[in-house]
Formats: sequence, C-alpha cells, structure tokens
Amino acid sequence: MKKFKYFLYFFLFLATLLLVGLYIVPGGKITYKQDFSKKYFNILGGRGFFYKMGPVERLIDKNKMIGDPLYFYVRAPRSFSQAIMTIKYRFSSNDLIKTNYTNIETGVLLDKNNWNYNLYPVFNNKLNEIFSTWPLIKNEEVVLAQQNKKFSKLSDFVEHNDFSTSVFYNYNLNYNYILPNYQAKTNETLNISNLQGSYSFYTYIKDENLKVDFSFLNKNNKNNQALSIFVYYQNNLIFDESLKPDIFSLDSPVNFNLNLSNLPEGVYKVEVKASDDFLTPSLISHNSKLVFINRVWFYDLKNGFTLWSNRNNFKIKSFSAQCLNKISINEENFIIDEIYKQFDFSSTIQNDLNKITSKSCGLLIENNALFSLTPESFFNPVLNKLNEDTDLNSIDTIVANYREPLKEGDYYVSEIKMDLSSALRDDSGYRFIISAPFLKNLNPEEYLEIKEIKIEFVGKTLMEKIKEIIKKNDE
Amino acid sequence: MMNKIIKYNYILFYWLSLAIILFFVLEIIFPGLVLAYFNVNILVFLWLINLLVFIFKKKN
Repeated sequence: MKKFKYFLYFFLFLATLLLVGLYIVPGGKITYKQDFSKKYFNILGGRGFFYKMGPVERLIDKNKMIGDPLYFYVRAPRSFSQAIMTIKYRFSSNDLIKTNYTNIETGVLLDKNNWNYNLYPVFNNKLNEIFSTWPLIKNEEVVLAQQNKKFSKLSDFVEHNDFSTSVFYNYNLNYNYILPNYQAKTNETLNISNLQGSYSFYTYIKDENLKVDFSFLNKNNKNNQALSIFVYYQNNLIFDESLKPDIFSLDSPVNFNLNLSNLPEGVYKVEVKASDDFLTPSLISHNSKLVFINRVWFYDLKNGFTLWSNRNNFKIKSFSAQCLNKISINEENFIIDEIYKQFDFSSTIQNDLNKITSKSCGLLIENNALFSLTPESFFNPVLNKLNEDTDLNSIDTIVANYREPLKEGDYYVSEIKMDLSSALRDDSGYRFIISAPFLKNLNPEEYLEIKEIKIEFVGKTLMEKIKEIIKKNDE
Repeated sequence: MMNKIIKYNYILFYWLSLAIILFFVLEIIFPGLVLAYFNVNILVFLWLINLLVFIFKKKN
C-alpha cells in the first residue's frame, strides 16, 4: 500500500520537474510538432502549441488553405533566437503549380502596429523550374543560376555591377546605385501633404545634405505609441529618432527636421514607423528625388492627387465614405464604391511610368511598387525581383537565397530557418504567417493542404543565461 | 477486499486532489504549461468519480 502511495507521489514530483523543465527549456532547444491531418481527438493530450489557425473562412477541413494569407500562433514559453520550421504540404492538383506563378512564403510577426512580417521562401515554381534546367553555382544558401554561364563565382557576378538582366529572390545585394548625370537642386523642394500611418521612401543625394522637414500630428489622444524615424544607407541603419507620445497634443503638429550632412553619394531609405493614428500633414523634401516604397496613404485631400508608379496594377482601399470616388490609371477609370474593401485595379496599358489620378479625398494605394508625386522626382534604385511578371526569356541571371523543397510522395517538405531575434513574442507566443497569393479566389477546388508543421526553437541555454546575468551584475 | 479498495481509493483521492492543486498553481506561475501538454479534465473527472465512490460508500 505504502509503495503504491510513494510511487504516485514520486510520479507527480517527476511530472512537475519535467513540466518545469519543458517550460524553461534548459538546453536551449525544443521542438513542437503538429499533424494537422489528424481528425481524431486525443483525450489525454493537451491543447498543444499550435493554435488559432485561420481565418476559418480561408480553411476547409481545418488544414486546407483556400485563401491567402493564413495565420497561426505557436505558444513559446520563453524567447528564442531562431526557429527552424519544417512544413509538409501538397497542392490540390499539379495543374495549380503548372498554370500559376506559385510562390509560398512563411514568416513571423515583427511588429504589431504595422503587422510587419519577416518572410522566408517555402516554394517557388519558377525557381524550381530554373534550378532543374539552368547551371547553378551554390554559395552556402545562395544560388547563382545562369542561362549562359558567364561567372564562375557569386563574387564575380556581384562585382561586375550591371544587374539590368538579373533577377533577385530573397537576396539583398548591398550595391551602390548611382544615378547618372544627377545634380542636386538646392533651391527646389518637394512638398507632399496629408500622409497617414507608416511610410518609407528612397531619396538620392550627391554633394548635398539629406534634408526632410516633417510635421506630425497625433489624431488620437489615447494613442500611447511612439513615432520612429529611421534612415538606412545600403541596408545599414545610420540614423534613428523616436518621438515619444507625450510630446504630441491634439491639433498641434510636431515639427521634426531631418538634416544629415557629409553623406556619400547614393540612395538612402527613410522609414517613418507610426501607428495609423499618426498623420503627416506636411513633408518637405529638399532633395529632388523621392519615391515612396510599396504604399501611399492619403487623408483629407482637398483637390485629389496624382501619383506616378513603375507598376500599372494596385490594391486600393478607402476608409471613408466621403472619399469614395473614381481613380484613373493611365487614363483608364475604376470606381471605388465601398469602404474598407480592397479593390484590385489593373490598367491594360503598361508604361515605364504609369500615371494614377483621383479626385478622392484619401485612399490607401499599395503594391510591390514605387510611387512618386512628379515624374521628375521618380527614380528606381530597386533591383529586379522575381515575381509573376518576370519573363524568364528576358533575363540571364538569377540570384536566390532559396532551398528547393524535397518531395515525399505527393507531399513537398520545406525547411526554413527564421531569425527570431527581432520577432514579437507576447502572451500568445509567436505569430506566424503562411502566404500563398495564388490562392485568391476562395475556391474549394484549389487548395494548399498543410499536413504537418514542425518548429524547432533554438535559443540560449540555462547556463548561458545565468552567465549573462552574472556578467551584467558584475558590470 | 472491500477495505483494500477503499484504502486505495483514499490514496488516489488525495493524490488526485494534490495533482489538481499542483497543476493549478503551475498553470498560474507558468501560463499555458500544463494545459499545453496534458488534458486536466481527465484528472478532474477521475477525482469526481473517486468522490462519488466515497459518497456512495458512506450512504451504504
């Protein structure tokens, strides 16, 4: 009888120790796995680590994705620096990958204010095709694919500095873009008014200061988030400033003058990170070249707007009934007649520079594109990226940081290494995204079945953490 | 024989009570820890069965 009693209490003690160990993860590594194809309920098992997979209207049979994107959370008891995700999936039919540009990405949430995700490639049918037909040069994770072999090393390609017929995928090349025949116009300014929320833009300088005068307004006195300004040169942060919420009062704009001197000639990226409650009533650039990256959101405009972009198709949304209006892209008219609905408009005409005009008082215009307010201020420092419009016959080189998925029967298996050092972890854990833009019609016949996801979290061991605390205390 | 079953029942009842309290405390200190791995409803269900056995025995 006593033996039975001791056995039970010893078992409970062991179970408690094991659970605490699984929470602290003393070895710094832990793997969570979920088979989403299992339909039965494990009566003894807990609720697991993967949850809130959805939105539910984009899923059928709990694991077949019919809409884009899909989100899920993974409970993580502590912070980790890296996640190695292994995802097993298959397509509803092979025609889906043969007829469409099939690009699947996954990522982790970095910032809840802007819903900013760090995305990593999972599957790309164009790259899979290229990898099986073109000669490849592999340099660790990076692959250089050439239609006609010209370079024997990746470094040779990077140094030759002409990327007009090259395409990049998930690879950031640090190169110095030079605008030929550029001359600074010191007496001219670019005035941009009534921008809402976050935005980022490229500007070009040569023998001049990087000078932008901002005026910011906080329209919500309950907003307690800071507004941050970052400046990058060749992907390196060279300036950052945070404007705390207590300096903002309603109806009185806060002025901020960005003025950086002694900078080398080149492209600079300026990023304004702010919640949607922040407005920029006025932005005056003293540099003549300025292009917004991927999105422009106007509010309270009196005479509408004109934009110029390198793309002819956009996602457009109105947040106010008063601003419902028509928009013209290359003189083709489109109607925005619903608020909060995202319209996909595409002009049949593709110019080098496409004109977008509207009399609307405010719209959010998005695409993987660049936008300028005048044709003169437009420039394109962005390297060609692999996308659905890429014509493989017109390019000769592709540089991709991409690993081809393995094939297991009908299923594909991809392994993705993610950096979690800047990922957001809250009470719910880490929030992940699976992006499959080819699934846009919510058609139950076309789906991506996610069979299994395994995530190995890697972080500091208990000993490393203790040593770090001791070191901090000593300092 | 009956006495033995009742004694085992007592041991199990106290053990289950302790396990439920312990897991409850663990869940407060380390949120999500117990529930992620283990379905505590089973423990509560077994504890209730034990309790019913006691009540039934007392009545008889």
